[in-house]
Order: sequence, then structure tokens, then C-alpha cells
Amino acid sequence: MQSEALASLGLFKPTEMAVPLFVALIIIELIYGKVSGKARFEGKDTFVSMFMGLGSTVAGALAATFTVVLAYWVWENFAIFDFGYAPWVFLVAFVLDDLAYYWIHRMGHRMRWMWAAHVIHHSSQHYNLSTALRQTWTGSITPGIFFKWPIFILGIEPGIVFFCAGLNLIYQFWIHTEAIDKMPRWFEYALNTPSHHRVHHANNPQYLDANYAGVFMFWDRMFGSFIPEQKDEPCNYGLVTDLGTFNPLRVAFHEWVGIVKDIASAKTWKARLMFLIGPPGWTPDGSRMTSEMIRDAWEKRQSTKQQAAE
Amino acid sequence: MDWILFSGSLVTIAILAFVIHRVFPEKTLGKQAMLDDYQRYNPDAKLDDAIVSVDERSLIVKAITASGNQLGLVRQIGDQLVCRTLVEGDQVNISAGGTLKVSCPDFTAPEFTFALEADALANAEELLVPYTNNQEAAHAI
Repeated sequence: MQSEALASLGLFKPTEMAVPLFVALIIIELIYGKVSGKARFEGKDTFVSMFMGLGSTVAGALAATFTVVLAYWVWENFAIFDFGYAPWVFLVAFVLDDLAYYWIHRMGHRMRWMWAAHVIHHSSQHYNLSTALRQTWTGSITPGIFFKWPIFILGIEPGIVFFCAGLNLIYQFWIHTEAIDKMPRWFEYALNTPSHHRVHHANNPQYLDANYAGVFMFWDRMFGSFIPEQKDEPCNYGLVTDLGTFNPLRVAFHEWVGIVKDIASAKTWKARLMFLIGPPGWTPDGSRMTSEMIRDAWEKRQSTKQQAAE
Repeated sequence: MDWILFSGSLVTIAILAFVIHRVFPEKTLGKQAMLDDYQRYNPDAKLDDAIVSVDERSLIVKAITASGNQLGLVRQIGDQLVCRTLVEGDQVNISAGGTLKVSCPDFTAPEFTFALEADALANAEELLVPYTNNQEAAHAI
């Protein structure tokens, strides 16, 4: 359905076209990692990452009818302007889609409902190009689908936005690597890079909930979520509580199972709602830790250490 | 849905994963790496009485914190370490033959397996007593 929407505009689906390139780059990183020791892989981990990517395309295809029909319904009925298909419209669409991506991504870490879908991408303890393919199967059943509606309402055809979103995802592939240290300064300032995105994937307390950008880093700088990678604080990848399984079904659905269990055992409606829309780790009694609580505890430990040293 | 494309992709993924498995063989990380990882996972705990499995791929450690005693479990899967903490009130099932199996009510890390020498097995079982579902354990052992 999405492919049809793009084809009607004479566009292709960028992510499908890029798959051979993805595989080739993974093989190059694999060889480089073996020779230089600057990239690390694990067979089962890579299998799960790539299998999740494959599953994501299947899930995406199944959900496409719903999301595309809904998007076109919004655009056809509520668009304020008709911007047409000029090249500048594609440029504007790319920037606006990137802004929408920033907020979808940020909410994907701050709202448990959306985290249940996004957690899959963070569930590997490795950080290599195959991690980029570890994608959600359940993104289309989260409120994330609404974040792009303002672009349709503004008057940009959904097909153009989907095309730009595909290019955005392709851009994000190469930043999932330890093989590249830092890019030139101007590049690090303006665009998302391996260094910035390593911080995003790290579970070190001081790196949690940072660097949500897709392509343009200025969203993080503008909205106060930018944290640079520190040489003396190497990134440790994965979840705060890592998965003890390579079973793709458990990887795909574990947080959904957690939500259902928590809601079923909740005693109040407020708690039920918060288990869905509150931050990951929220509990009525504070028995689990949200990222803020983890960061606060870390800051407390740091200041205690500093006082002890003085 | 193109099933030929899907099957071809799946085969490619399996081949690539197999090649990676051969190119990057799994290493046992060992006791110190497991202790370090658990300390990172539970930074406020003081660790004591670590029991390591014969294959050095799993570890049980007493974790003493301000809020009481806990028990740390660490397991290597692939080349990654996974940690969990048992706290007061947690109930796990254990079964001990040649290996000690700790089954947690945890969807993402349901089982920790420890191949232990006889002495270590007895010590580990003792450490697990406060967290054990006695009825199930009696049945299992």
C-alpha cells in the first residue's frame, strides 16, 4: 500500500532499495572489525537483529494499509495548503519529517506504550550496523502514527513524507557503528553521527535519554536533550535491564507482556493509565527505577565519591 | 507478501549469522567480568561470597545493600552478560541435579543455569533459600 502510494508519485520505497547496500556494509564492517578490532559482532545477536528487521518489514506491510489510508484521509480532508510536488516541498518535508521523528523517538523513550515498540531497537548489547536493522514490529499500534499528521494537515502529500521518512531511515543506518570515531567538527555539530548515536544507545546513567535526532542534531540542541560522547566514559550498550534471551518473539513482545501484567495487577485506574503512558520503569510505589531515578542515584553517588575524595 | 523474497532473506540472514559466529568465536568472559558487570548493574551493593559455575559462564553473588541483603545472578549468553537481582519477597524455583537451575518469573530471563562442584552447589542452595519457592523446590530436588 505504501509502495503503491509512492509509485503513484513516481517514487520508490527507499528502504527496500537499500537492503543490498545494508548487507554489503555489514560485511565490510565485519571484515574491518575482525582486522582492526574496532567492531564487534556475535552470531546469535546479529541473527536476531536482522530477523527483527525482516519481521519489521512484514509487520510494516501488514499495517501499511491502515496507516497510509489514515494519512491520506487526513491530508485529503484537512490539508490547509496544497504545496504540490516541487523539489523544495521535498526539502521542507524532509526537515519536518525529521522534526516529527525527533518527537516520536523522544516519546518512544518517555512513554511506556511507545517504548514497548521501540525497546526492540535498544535490546542488543552490541553496537554495529546490524543493530540498525533491529526494528520494531509493533510501531503502528502506538500513538507514534499521529506525530506526522501536522505535516499532512499543513498540505504535504503523505507519499512525499513516507519517501522522506525512508531516506531518513537510510541515513540512520551508518551511524550504528563503533568503527567510526568522530566526524569533522562541523558535521558533528549539524548532523547525527556514530558518536552521538552511540550515546543514545548507551545505558550508562549519564547517557540515558539523550540524542534522539534522526538526521539533524539541532533538534537535540534546541530541545535540551543533547549529550556529547565523553572519551573517559565509554558507552555500554543495551537496556538498563538486559534481555536474557535471543528468542525473537520474546524480544519483540516482552515490554507489551510487562505492560499487560502490570495493568492486570494494578489496583487503581491512575496506576493502570500510568503503566501505559508513564515513563518506562514507573511504578506506584517507586519499586522500579525510571531513567530520571537512575540518573539521580548516579549523581548522588558521584557527589558522595567527590566528598569522600575531598 | 513475497514469500520467495522472505525465504531468501531469511536464508541470507542465517548464512551471515553463521559466518559471524565463525569469524567472531564466543569467548568465556570469566568471574571478574561477571562481578564487574553485576557491580555496574547494582552499583550500591557491596558484593560478597561469589560462587562461579564450573564453565565460568554464570555466577551467584551475595549483594549487601542499605535496604537489606539481595542475591545477584549473572549469566553469559552469547558473549553478553545478563544480570538480575533477587530481593526479599522474590520467589524462584530451583532444581538441582548436576546443575542448579534457577527459574525466575521473568519473561526476559526465565532461567539461570549453574554447573557447580558439590561444595559450591550446597553453598549456592543455601544462598538461595530465602528466595526459594519451597514447595516447588522440594518437588524439584
